Amino acid sequence: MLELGLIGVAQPWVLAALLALPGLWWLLRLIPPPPRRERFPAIALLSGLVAREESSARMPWWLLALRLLLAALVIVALADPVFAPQRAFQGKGPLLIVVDNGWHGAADWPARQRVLANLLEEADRSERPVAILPTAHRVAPAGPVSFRPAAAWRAFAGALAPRPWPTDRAAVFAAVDGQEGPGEAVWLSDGLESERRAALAERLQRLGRLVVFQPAGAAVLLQEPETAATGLRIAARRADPRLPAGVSVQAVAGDGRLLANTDLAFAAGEAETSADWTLPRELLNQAERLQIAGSTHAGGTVLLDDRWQRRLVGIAEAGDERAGHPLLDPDHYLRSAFADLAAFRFGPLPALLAERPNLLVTRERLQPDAVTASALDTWLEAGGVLLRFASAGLAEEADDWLPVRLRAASRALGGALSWEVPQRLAPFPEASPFAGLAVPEEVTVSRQVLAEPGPGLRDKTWAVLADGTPLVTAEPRGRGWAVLVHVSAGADWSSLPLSGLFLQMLERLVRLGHGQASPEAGEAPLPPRLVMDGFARLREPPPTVQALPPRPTPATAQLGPDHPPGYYGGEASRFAWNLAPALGAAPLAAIADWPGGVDVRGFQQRRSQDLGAWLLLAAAAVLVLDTLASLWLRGHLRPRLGGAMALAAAAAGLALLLPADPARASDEMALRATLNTHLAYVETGDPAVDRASRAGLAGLSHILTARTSVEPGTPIGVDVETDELAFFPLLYWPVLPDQPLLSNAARERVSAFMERGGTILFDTRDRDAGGEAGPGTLRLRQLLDGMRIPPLEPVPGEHVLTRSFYLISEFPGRWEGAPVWIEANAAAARDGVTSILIGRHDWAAAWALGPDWRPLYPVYPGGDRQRELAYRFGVNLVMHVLTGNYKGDQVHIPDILERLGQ
Amino acid sequence: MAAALLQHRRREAEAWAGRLPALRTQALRVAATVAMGSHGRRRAGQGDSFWQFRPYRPGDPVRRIDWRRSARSDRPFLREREWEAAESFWFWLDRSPSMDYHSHPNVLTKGERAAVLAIAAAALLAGSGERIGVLTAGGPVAAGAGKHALDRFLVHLAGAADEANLPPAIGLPRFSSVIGLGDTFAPLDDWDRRIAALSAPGVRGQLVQVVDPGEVRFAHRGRLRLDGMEGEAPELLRRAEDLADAYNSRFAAHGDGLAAICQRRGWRFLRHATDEPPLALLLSLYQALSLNRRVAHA
Repeated sequence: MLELGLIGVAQPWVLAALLALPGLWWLLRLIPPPPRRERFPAIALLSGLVAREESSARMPWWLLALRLLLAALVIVALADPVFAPQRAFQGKGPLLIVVDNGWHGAADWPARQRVLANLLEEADRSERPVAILPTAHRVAPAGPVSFRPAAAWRAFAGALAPRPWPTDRAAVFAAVDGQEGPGEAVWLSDGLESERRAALAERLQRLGRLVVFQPAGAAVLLQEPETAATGLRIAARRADPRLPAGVSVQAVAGDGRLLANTDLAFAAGEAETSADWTLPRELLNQAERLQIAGSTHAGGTVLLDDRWQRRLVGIAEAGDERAGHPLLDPDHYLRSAFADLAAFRFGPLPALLAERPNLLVTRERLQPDAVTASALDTWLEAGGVLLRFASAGLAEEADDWLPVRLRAASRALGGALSWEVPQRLAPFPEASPFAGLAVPEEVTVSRQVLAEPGPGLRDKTWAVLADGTPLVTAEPRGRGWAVLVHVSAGADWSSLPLSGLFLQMLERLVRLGHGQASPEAGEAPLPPRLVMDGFARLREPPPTVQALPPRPTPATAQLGPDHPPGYYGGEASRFAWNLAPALGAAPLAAIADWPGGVDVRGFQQRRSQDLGAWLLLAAAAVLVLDTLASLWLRGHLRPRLGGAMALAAAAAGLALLLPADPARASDEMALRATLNTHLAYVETGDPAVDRASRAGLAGLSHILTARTSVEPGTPIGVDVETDELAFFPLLYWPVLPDQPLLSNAARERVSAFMERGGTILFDTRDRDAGGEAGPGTLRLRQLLDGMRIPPLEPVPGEHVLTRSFYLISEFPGRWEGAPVWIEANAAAARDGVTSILIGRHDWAAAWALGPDWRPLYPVYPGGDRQRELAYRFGVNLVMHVLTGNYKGDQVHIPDILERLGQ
Repeated sequence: MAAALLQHRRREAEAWAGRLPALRTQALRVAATVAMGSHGRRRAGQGDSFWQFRPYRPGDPVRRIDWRRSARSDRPFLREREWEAAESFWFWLDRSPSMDYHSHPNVLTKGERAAVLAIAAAALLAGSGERIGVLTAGGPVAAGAGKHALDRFLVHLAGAADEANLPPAIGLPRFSSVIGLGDTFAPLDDWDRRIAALSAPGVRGQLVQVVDPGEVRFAHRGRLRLDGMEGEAPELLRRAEDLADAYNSRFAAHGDGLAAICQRRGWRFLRHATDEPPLALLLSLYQALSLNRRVAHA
C-alpha cells in the first residue's frame, strides 16, 4: 500500500495509467467534436454559399479539461484509494502484544480494546501466534512467553481490564527477555514514563518490529488533598507540562450526588498545581470522593475518609440535674458551639468511647470502672483529646485524667466578699494551640479552679488570665491530650462560653484530635471493604485483595494487586487507600521519545474510508456533465439549460441574501414547541437512532391522538447542549455507547430540567446484557455522573405509572424483561411525577410507525401483544407525566365510597 | 426496397389522412370567422336560396311575380333569388417532405398550415356553392359542390399522395381557378414552366408560399451541419451567422421571382409564414377569389 498523507492507495501501479493522460489530451484535441445537426428545408437556397471547411474545429478547452478529469478520476478510483487507511501489520512470525493496563490505561480503554480486537482479528486472519502481556497484572508474568492462536486470546482480551495501580514494566521486561525473534511486537502504551520503559522498548524492538500505540490525552493525577482552614487544599499533577490547561474537580457524595465543583488551573509550563477550595463543612462531610470531571481512571479520583471529614465530638452526660432554663444548662453552650463545628453525641462515657470520637468533653469528675478507664487510656494514647471543664467538686476529688494537680479550693473573684475584680484573659502563649486568637475585652472570669504551681505548669498552660493564673492547661497522653478548662462550661463561672472566643477555641481543640478515627490508632490489620476497579468505581473486594497493615503508608504497603486503592478498615473507621500517595513524588511524565525505528501510532484512528466508490461517483457526475455539455454544444439543450442555470443562480443568490438568523430560529423553535404539546427526543447524532426516535415518538403521538385526549404535535428533536428544554414535558433520550459526555453547562441544564418538572426517559437500548450493565448503561452512568440524580428504584407494583391510563404490570419495548428504574420518592411538589426513568427496552423502536402507520421494527420475542403493551406503557407514561398522581387518587376510592355509604 | 419504401409512403399518407379531421376542425373554425365577415353574395341571381322581394318593374317576366307576397299589398312583388354561379376551384397542396418542418414545436409544420388554409378556403367556397376539387398528379379530381363537397374534398386530399414539390402540368377546363399552396423552393424556371402549363385560357391561379419563420430569417449560429429534407447534399457551416445576409437576400430574390412569374401569368402570389395567424391570409385569399370571379363574370 502506498501512503500519501492521509490517503493510502492499495493498487499504486494503476496510477501509472495517469501517464497516459497527455496522450489522451493529444488524441482529444485531434478529434473535433461533431457539429450540431439541423434539418433545413430551404437548403437549396444555400447551395454555393458555403465555403468548404479547411481545418478541423478545436474542442473547447474546458470540455477537454472535463474529459481529462474524467479519465483521471476513473484511473485513481481503480487504484483503490483509502482515506486514513488502517495500516496492516505485514510482519511475519509470532505477534507479541504488550498492553499497558495500569491506572492510566482506563482513560481510553474502549479505544485500547478496539485496537486489541483488531490486532487479534488480523493475526487470526494471517494465522500468526499471539501472546498478550498486560503490564499491570495480578500475578507477575513468568517467562518464557507462551504463544497461542489468536482465537484463543479473544476471551482473554475481552476480559482484560485496566487496573487501578501502576504498570510494572520491569516484570514484563523480565518475561520477554529470553524471547527470540523474529516476530513482531505491538505495545499499547498508556503514555506514561516508567522504570525500564526504554529498555523494554528496545528489547521488544529486537524481536523484529515494534509498533507502539500512544494515547492522545495526557494524564492528570489528582493528589490527596490536605485539610485547610476553610476547606481543602487540592492538588493535581499532569504528565504533560502543556496540556491540559486545567481540570474541573468535583466533590461527590457517597450516593453519587455532585456536591460541589471547582476549577483547578495549571500555570503555563508547570506540571503541578494546587489551590485552596473553600468547601462548607456540611458538603465536605458528605463528600466520599474527589474526582476530576470526565476522568475515568483511578488517578483522577481520591477517596476521602475521616481524616478529611468533620470530627466527631462526644459529650459525656453529666449526672447533675438539668436546669429548667436552657441558658442555665451548661450543655447548651457546648451543644450550640459544636453544632457548627462537628458531629457530636451525647451519651455515657463507655458508649462514647466505643464511637472513638476525636474529642471527648466532660464537665464532671470521671469515675469510670476499670474497663472504661482502660478504654479511655487507650483512646487517649491513640490520639483522642479529652476536654474537661471545671466543676464545683472537681478540685476536691481529683482523678487521673487531669493535666495538672489542682489546689483544693477554687477561687472566686469579684464576688460580694472579695476586693478582687473579675479577671480578663491574657494573650495566648505562643506554644498554645490557641495562639493567634484575638482576646476579646468582654470575657471575664469570676471563678476558677487553680493549678498547683510547679515547674512544669508553664509548659502545660495553653491560656492564662491577666494575673497569670492558668485558664486552660493540657498534658499529652500518648498521642492524645488531656485538656482542662479551669472554668465551668456554663456561664456561671465566666463569660467565656458566651463569647465567640469559646467557639474558636473549641474548633482548635476539635482539630487537635486528628486522625482519631483513622486506623493509625489501631494495631489491627485493615481488611478491605470496598476497592476501586480500573475505572475508579468501588466494588466488593475480590478475594485476592489482602488486608492492609495497620497505619499503612506507601512505605509499609505496596499499592498493587494485593492492595488496590479503596476503602479498608472496619465499619466505624474506614481508611481511604489512594493511588496518588503510592505514586509518590516521582515525576509524572509522558513518554517523550521512542527508540528509532519504532512505528508510533495513535489509538483514535480515523475510521478508514474507501474512496474508490466516491471517486467513481464523481466520475459518473463528470460524465453526466460532459454529456450535457456535448448536447449543449450540439444545440440540443439551449433553452432549458438557460432556464435551469438562471434558476440555480437565483436560488444561490437567494440563499446568500437570507442568512440564517439564530435568534429568530430559536424563537421559532420556542413557538413551535409551545403552541402545542410535543414529545421530544434527544438527538444523538447517529442518524439511524435519531430516525428511530423520531418515528417512535411519531408513532406514540399517533396512538395518543387516536386513543386519548392528548393530541401531541410532531415530535421535536432537541440538542441538550444548545436547545431550551423547558418546553417539553417528556424527553426521550436514547443512550449510545459512544455518546459524547455533556458539558458542565448542559449537565446543569439537564439537572434543572428534571428538578423543575421535566421527565427524562433514558433508554440505554442494551438488548440483553444478562444481569450485567450493557455498553449503553455504562455510558449512561458516565453521562449522569455528577448530575443531581435522585435515588432510584425499580417501578413498584402499585406505582401510578402502572395505571395512569391502562392497567399494566410490565413495560416492554422492543425487548422486555429488564427492570425500569424510576425516582424512588418523587417530590410532592412535582405531583409525584418521576423526573427520570431508566430502562433498556428500546421503546422508540417498538413505537416506531412508518408513513403508512405500519411498524418499522420487529419486537422481540415478538407478537402484537408486546407491541401493544409497549404502546400502553408509552400512553401511561405520557399520562403520568401530564397528569401527575391524578390516577393515584383512586387508591382512596374504596375509602370515599365507604364514607358516602355512611 | 421499393416495397418497403412504398409501405413507408403509405404509412405516412395514412398518418397524414389521420391528421386531416383535426386540421379540418381548425380550418372550419377559421373559415367560420371569414364567412361571418363576408356574408353571402348579396346579389340577386340564379340560385336556390331566397334573396329578396322587390316591386315589379315594367319589363320583368310576369311568371316571376310572387303572388303570395303580392296578395298582401296592392302592388305586385317579385321574388328574387340570390345570384349563383358555379366555378371550379382546384387545390394543389405541396406534399413534399420539406413541408413536414417547423423550426419551433409551438408552430404548425408548413404542411399542416397549408392544409388548414386549403381546407378553410375549400369550406368557404363550398359553403358559397362553388365547385371544389383537388389537383393530383393523375389529374383534377372534382369534389363537386353542395353540402358534402367538403367531405369529398377531404377524401381526395387525403388520397393525393404524390410528393412532387411542383403542381402537375394538367390542362384545366374554363372557369377554373387554381389555388396552390407550398413552400415553393423549387427552382424558378420550373415554376415558370408549370404555371405557364396550368394557365390555359379562362384559368386563373393563386400561389400561396407557406414558409417557416426559420426559413424567412436565417437565425442559425455557430458550427453546424444542415441536412436537406429532399435528398439534397448536407452543408457544413463553420459560422452560420456569416451566411445570414446572403441567405436572406437569396430568399427575398426567390420570392420576388415567383411574384414576377405569377404576375406575368395573371396569377396572384401570396406569402404566409406559419407563425402568422391563418386568418389574414385566408381573408386576402378569399377576397381575391371573389374578386377573381367577379372580374370573370361581371
